[in-house]
Amino acid sequence: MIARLILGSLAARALTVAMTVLSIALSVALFLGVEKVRTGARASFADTISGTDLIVGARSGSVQLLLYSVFRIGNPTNNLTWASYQDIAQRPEVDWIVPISLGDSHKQFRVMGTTGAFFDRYKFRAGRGLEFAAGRRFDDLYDTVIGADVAATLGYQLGDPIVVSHGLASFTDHDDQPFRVAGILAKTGTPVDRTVIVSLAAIEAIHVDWQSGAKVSRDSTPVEVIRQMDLTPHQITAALVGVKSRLQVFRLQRWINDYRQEPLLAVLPGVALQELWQIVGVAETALTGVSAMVVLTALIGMMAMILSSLNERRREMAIWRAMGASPRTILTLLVAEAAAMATMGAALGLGLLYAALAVAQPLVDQAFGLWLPIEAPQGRELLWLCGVVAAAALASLVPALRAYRLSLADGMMVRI
Amino acid sequence: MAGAALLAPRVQAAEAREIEWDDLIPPGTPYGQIVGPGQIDEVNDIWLPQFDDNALQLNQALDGQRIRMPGFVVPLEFDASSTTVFLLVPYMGACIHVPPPPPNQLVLVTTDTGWQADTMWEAVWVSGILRTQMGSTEIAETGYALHADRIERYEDL
Repeated sequence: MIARLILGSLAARALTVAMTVLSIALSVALFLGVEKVRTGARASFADTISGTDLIVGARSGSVQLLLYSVFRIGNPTNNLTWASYQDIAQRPEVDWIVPISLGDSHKQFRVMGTTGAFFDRYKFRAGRGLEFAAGRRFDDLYDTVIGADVAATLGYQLGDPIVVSHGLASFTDHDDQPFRVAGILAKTGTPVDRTVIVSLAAIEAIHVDWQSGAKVSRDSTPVEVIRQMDLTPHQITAALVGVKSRLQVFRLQRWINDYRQEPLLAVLPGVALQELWQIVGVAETALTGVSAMVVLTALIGMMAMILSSLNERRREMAIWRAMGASPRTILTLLVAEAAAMATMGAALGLGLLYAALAVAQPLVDQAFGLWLPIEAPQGRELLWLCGVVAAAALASLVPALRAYRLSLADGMMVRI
Repeated sequence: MAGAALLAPRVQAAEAREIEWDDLIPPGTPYGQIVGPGQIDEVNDIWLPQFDDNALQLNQALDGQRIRMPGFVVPLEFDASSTTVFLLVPYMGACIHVPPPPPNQLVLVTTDTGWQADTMWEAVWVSGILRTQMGSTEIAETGYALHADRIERYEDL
């Protein structure tokens, strides 16, 4: 009975109610969206590296090393020499080591030189390994394996030729030495999707005629000659290391950090990630705070709307009272109306969020490499929604109590 | 997290023996002697400590015991919200002049539920069965491992 009255009452003021519901919906969508992006960003970062005990690179900052070596964000400060790499590889604590060489690009995608071990050792999302959607690993000098996004964006098939460019954005191509697509990796949701992978020797090969960043000879060395050359790399950008026993990780880390021949840095990915969270945590809190304020504003707007409606509903309230409704019923009615509006707003906000996610998901993934999962609302999010409804009910107590006090006297008296 | 900790069986916690880091060193060995003098590189101002036999000895009496001990978390395996494999260490150092803890001052902790860290360098109480892993050579796995059935925040810090 009272539920029907509430709905009828809301329907009678459809336009203002719709506006209030819309403002609550937008604020809820914004708030949940910020939360989604925040947790999505954390998840995609944390899921990108797994099973690697140490990341080794030239001495810089731990966060910086993590960002450029694993996430391809920012640029390496320096390389480490092949001799240092060999020294580390020969340490008794080292179970496996995978070199990474960065610095060249193909269209908008980065080129990474590594060894075949990368496909065995690189793990993501709690220990999942790389899988091939098509083809296989590189076995020829000019073979490449490309990530899922590279293949999708550029429309590459197995066997297609690829020309690698020097630098990260460049007008100088290594066009004298075209590569061939030998394998396409399955989608991982990590930066590997946007990477062109070649062998370390290939990185050396394309720089045979290059010195100090410029091509030195006008006539490029024929591919046949390059194939005969010793293509042992002189330097690499970073290395991923697994230790035999995790209890030895600190010892190896210290050994690398104290390495005399060259300033090196070894970081534990988990610790570096925590440092990163600490840095971005402030911005996250600010963002969450701002979106919470927007929710608060919407609720205050609703309170104002109910308050102003009290005036036009003076007669209605008086009739209710005259029909035998207690002041308590009037109070319940107003609070329930507010709760109903907030519920509608929350539901609509959720709908808006999922609609926006459906549209934005592929775009965000492509632009930022951020995978926002579309899944049923989690316990935390449902709790937030309940909180919004409860806060709305609480906010409506202000006008409701006013109506409670005034309902009879106000409506029955003739105003002059 | 606090709720989950409360729900864990009380009986187990009652049986757990509370130990300190010193207890991981075999009785009779002073803490100061677990790190050998090693060598000091004065040019680079680096101290390369040498862990002697004392640092590699484990307190076998603790093998298989249900214990509860405090320490700091260094995450090794993790997802977005929690860490499932971590090293428990007696101190956290940002100062790189300090050598890492010796092998018998590290505990490799695994947990099924995962530990949700809120801040860096978080101190926790870990409860579970401690196992000693002895290796005959310096390079083999030597140290302590623990499967934690209960992890609580260390409040008093």
